[in-house]
Amino acid sequence: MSKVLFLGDEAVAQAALDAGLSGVYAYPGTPSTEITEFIQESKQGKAGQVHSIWAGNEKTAMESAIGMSYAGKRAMVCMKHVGLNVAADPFMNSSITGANGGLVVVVADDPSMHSSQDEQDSRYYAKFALIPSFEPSNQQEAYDITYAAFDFSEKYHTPVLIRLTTRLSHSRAGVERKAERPQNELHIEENPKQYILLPANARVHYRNLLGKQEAFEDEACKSPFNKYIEGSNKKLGIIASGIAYNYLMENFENHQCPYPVLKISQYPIPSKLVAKMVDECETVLVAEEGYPFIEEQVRGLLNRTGNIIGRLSGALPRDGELNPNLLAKALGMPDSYGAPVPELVVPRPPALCQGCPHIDSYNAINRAMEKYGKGKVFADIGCYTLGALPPYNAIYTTVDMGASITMAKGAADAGVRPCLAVIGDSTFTHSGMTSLLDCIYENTPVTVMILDNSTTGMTGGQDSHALGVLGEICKGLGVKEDHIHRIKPLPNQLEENVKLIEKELEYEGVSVIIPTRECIQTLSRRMKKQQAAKK
Amino acid sequence: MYPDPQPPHEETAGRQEITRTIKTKKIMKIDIILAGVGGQGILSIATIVGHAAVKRGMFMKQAEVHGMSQRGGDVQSHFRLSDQEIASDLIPMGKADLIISVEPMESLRYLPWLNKENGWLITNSQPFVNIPNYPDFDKLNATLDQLPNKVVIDADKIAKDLGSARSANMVILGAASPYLQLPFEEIEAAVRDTFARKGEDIVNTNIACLKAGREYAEKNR
Repeated sequence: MSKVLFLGDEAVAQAALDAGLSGVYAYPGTPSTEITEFIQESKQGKAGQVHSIWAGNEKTAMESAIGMSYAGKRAMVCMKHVGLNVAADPFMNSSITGANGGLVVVVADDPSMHSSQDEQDSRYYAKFALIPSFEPSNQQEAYDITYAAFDFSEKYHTPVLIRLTTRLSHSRAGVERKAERPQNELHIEENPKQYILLPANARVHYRNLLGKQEAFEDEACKSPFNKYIEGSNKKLGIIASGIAYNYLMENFENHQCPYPVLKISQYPIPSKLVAKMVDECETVLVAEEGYPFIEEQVRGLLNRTGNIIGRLSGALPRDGELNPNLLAKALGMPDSYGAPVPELVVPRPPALCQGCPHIDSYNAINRAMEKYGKGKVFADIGCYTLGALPPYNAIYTTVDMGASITMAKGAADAGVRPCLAVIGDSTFTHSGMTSLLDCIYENTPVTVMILDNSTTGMTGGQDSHALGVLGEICKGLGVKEDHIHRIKPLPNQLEENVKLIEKELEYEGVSVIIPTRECIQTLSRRMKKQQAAKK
Repeated sequence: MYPDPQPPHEETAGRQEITRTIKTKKIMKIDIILAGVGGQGILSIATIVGHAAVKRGMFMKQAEVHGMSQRGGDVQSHFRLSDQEIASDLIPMGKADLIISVEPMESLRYLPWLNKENGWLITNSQPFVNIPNYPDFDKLNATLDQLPNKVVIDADKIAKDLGSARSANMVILGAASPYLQLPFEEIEAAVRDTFARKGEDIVNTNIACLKAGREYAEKNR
């Protein structure tokens, strides 16, 4: 079969479809978004009626995927690394229930925080849940591993995790496909105790899971995705996992490394292979993207031998993503560098688009908040986080999805007045509704502005569950109707909007203001489509 | 702490040149940094060159920037072609053969990646100013002037004169084409393929822009 150009994300999506996927569940998050988008656009997905509509958040996505697996069909759930925090509860417990239909959790980590608030390493989550994980090194492997992951999941009745990182997710290369296979037939889990995690059942399941650990490691030792490449020079051995393997090989002519290399793309860590390397090499360099996950385990707490080096020893930087130059340096090879960046080159940070409705919202917020001083606007995750940058300098917090409202609540409880929360429509339905309910329950004096641009903007404009229903949701949760307002964020409405915000800031209770205007990006895309349709 | 590397890695040999010869077979590889501002569409250049290269059966890797930076921030793409398997998705610093940029200041941001001896920088001369502290235009031009191997081209004007302001990217691609090591007819064919479904007029405008860019680059070598 000829090769097709795929992003790492797309290779995962295509492999899942070819492996007989029945449903993907996900909430958009860079760098994972393109997996689900690919399935949504795919003819093959449509023909197979593969479920691919966005979920409300990562937790609901994970739970739906568990339900589909329970029904015997193959399910995949995709998220960015911090999304797994949201999905952690069902994720951890899915390892106890196990899987019926193949269940694959794909998590895209973002080392160097290109579009994220931390660089947590999802391999720890897989280890925490005692399930196998995979870390493809290139696009072809992303395809092959995803295809194989469904088989693995069904063979051992366990969910498995695939860990991607930004550079693989968003890099394109040629990929060869395997044969398509049909989806599973419905076959509901037959053991009535399997999915009822009452303590008495869960203890049994947990022991079962512990019993599988040895087999998981055996699989990793003989996995085609892990390989021990012999080398003549045993002064150094190199363990390279995932994409770090490519950065290593980039430094050698014809990709021939003189040292023994252990490439790891399947976990648990294959300890027999690691032992072979540690036994035969004087020093072992561990190159891995993200945290020093392998290095820490291989060298141990006491680091008695001192001959395991990597991110912990300082041979490689402790944070940030790797690249070929960092590997060259760690290998003691000559570093290459072009000319320095001329001094006149200045940073060009991302900014709100021209005509963005958030600009008008922030202009109104800044005017209304002027007399109250700094530090009282709590924001959230989305395009509007850019309100932290000049010229707005409008917000003071961004922690996690939904935190704006509940942090405003905590500050209000502490005595801060007024407290203004700024959250997007999609982020609100993701994780803001329960936060608002907490405020309503206590009638906390907070003013919540839900910036409704009718889309999930930062990730490229995916449909939002909040579309057209925000007022109803707030009313249903219990916000008093005369304190729910829809406003138009437009320059000519500025005075009116400022007055309304000022009025609600003085109210000693919960109010919700919803500035409503479509995202300028989705609007222009829609217009172009309409024009094209007219032609 | 750990030993010096042993041969065989004359790792820098061969890399200094775009082409080299092993056992009389010519190996072709080219590493390109594409640069611009989020929303300027730098990836259309990669799509076209990639199309031409893949048609030849070459290997390709292309690391893109998605997400937050796409909102008017600086964006870059590492674009690698070779007739041998490619290891890294990222180009090592100092090893890029070309910087192709649709914005002048952005072209300079990636100089640490450009091969100092024989790398070329091809950039649009028209600044995209969306920050308050954008550098002085004269100083910017003076800095570009000092570079040994560069093509600085007013792609916006050339595209506009040819009737399609939106095709500035094709002018840039044309200006870069003499350095791509691919036959021009194949790049031209890739442009045709890419725009074919938009109709003959659009294909012809883009081809005209491509040719105008190439002509300029050849005159100003």
